[in-house]
Amino acid sequence: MPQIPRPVQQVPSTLAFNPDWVSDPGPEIWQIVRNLDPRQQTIFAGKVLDARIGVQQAQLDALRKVQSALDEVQH
Amino acid sequence: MQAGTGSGFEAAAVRERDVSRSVVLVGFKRLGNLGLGYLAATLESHGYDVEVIDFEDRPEAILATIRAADPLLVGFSLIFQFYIDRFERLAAHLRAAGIDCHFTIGGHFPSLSPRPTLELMPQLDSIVRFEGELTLLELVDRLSVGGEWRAVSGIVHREGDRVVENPDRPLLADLDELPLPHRVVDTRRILGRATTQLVASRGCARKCSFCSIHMFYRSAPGKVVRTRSPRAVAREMRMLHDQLGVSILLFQDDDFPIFGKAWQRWCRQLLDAIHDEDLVGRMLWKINCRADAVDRELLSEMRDAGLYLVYMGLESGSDAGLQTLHKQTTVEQNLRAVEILKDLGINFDFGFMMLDPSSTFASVRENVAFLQRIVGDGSAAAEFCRMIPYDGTPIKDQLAHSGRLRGDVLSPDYDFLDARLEVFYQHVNEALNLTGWIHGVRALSPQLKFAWSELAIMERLTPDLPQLGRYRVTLQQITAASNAVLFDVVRELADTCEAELDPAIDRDALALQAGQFVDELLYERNRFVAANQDDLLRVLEAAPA
Repeated sequence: MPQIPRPVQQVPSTLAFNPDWVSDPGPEIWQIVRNLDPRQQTIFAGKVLDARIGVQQAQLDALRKVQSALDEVQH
Repeated sequence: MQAGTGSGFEAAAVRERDVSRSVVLVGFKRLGNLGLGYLAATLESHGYDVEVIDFEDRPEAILATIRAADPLLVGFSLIFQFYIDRFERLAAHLRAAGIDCHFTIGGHFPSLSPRPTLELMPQLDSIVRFEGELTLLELVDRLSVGGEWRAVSGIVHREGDRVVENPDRPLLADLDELPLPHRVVDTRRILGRATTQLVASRGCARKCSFCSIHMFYRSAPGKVVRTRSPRAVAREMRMLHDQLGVSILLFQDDDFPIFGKAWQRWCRQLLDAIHDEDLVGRMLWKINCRADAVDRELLSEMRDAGLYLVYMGLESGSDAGLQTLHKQTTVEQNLRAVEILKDLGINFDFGFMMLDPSSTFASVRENVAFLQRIVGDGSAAAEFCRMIPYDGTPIKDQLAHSGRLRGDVLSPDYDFLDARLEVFYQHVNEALNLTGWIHGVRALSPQLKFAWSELAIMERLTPDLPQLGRYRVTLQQITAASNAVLFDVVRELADTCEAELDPAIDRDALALQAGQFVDELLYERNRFVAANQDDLLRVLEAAPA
């Protein structure tokens, strides 16, 4: 196996690789947490929430940057 | 198709009703949810407006829709028992916001465990048990005219502190009486092709100990397995193709009827009807079936009529495990079924339980050896789980009787006979699930399965693509290599846990390795698709929109 991820070839969106449709209903991540051993559930749930907070924080930071850029343009 | 002539529908046809108020059904819509679709269609065919709401919408959005609809009844569809706390939170939210109409619920868990359901969801007024179309219709009819709804057959309700289970309503005798299901728009596509689900039959004749399907259908009176007429199924397929542009169909039958002479005859009539509707080469379809139903000659004919994928519940690679699970199959039958599908060039997928209540380290090794035999060549992604003792299953009752049942409704569990297997299971979870191999968002196995489905579709609908055979070899090599790692990990964990040693599995390295397999898969897949995109898009444009 390659040690360095190869660049992914771009394909038209119609032909995109989209395996989400095989997943179970409901937010899959919580389904997985439920299937874990109870002793692992809280640990893993904490990691999931940390990751989600991280994503939201990053989005918030990006939106703030856009907002400040807009403010500069307006003034 | 008109709702029609059977005794249940005959009675419904002449029953008094006031259709001026609507009905709201809440359930998971992501997978299309044919169950909700049949309920909605039955109500609609009797004049009611029905709003089907996705349970995954925000509670505020669900509340707003229900407020605007001002329905007679809100019906919840519970697919998995471990979601009941989420349904309870939603119901509590709705009640707190002043929604005071009739709340009911259906599904396997409420049907098989009505009293716990009422305890866990105190907001409910009733439960619609087992096949719900006629029961829900009669319940809504009676509510609409202010009639005595508590007498409706097939429901469970409270009278003061008492829970009353009304007599069960017989199962539908003739599935052709049902209207075609109300279809939730399903945007899932594979290689640009629309997919959807349908059923050709209901019920399962077998009695697997871990499964609640047979309990669901055997608890109410009536014939357990019923098939639609082959012509009606093929006509629905044609309609889905022509009107919704669907070219990939996933039959969701509990057990697609191909076992034994009578069902084989039925299946051949379906194949004739598919030919007559001119669907061969236009539609591909997938079925779920048992290993002992795989007949070489019939499957060959099915493949020629569009069958591209078979899901089998193989469940175990040890005869002792199959007996515990009451599969009524043997390891030899499992092996033979896989061999036939490989010979016929039909893609296959399978359910497999590495661990069950009878497991030993020897059976774990037997299971790994079995998986090695069937998918060691990379013909499918290896995947497995641990058996869960769901409510309403015989094995849950057996575990309770022997004092081994653990957990609760939301997290049912059990003790293994060998306590070291619990440690083994935890390590397997950490090594394979948390590092992105089997389960999880973007895990390797589901992505490999999707790639295999895509390949099977290309092999059927665009067989002349250059290098298609080479792409198959590449995909098989990636799958074989990742399966080999997975087998090694399970064997090593079994050895160390049996010896009560600390496993020396490097989770970070495993996570990295899973990521590398995914990278490799995406690189090869997208390289192939990009090289053939003009041909793929041209064929796609010629298909119905």
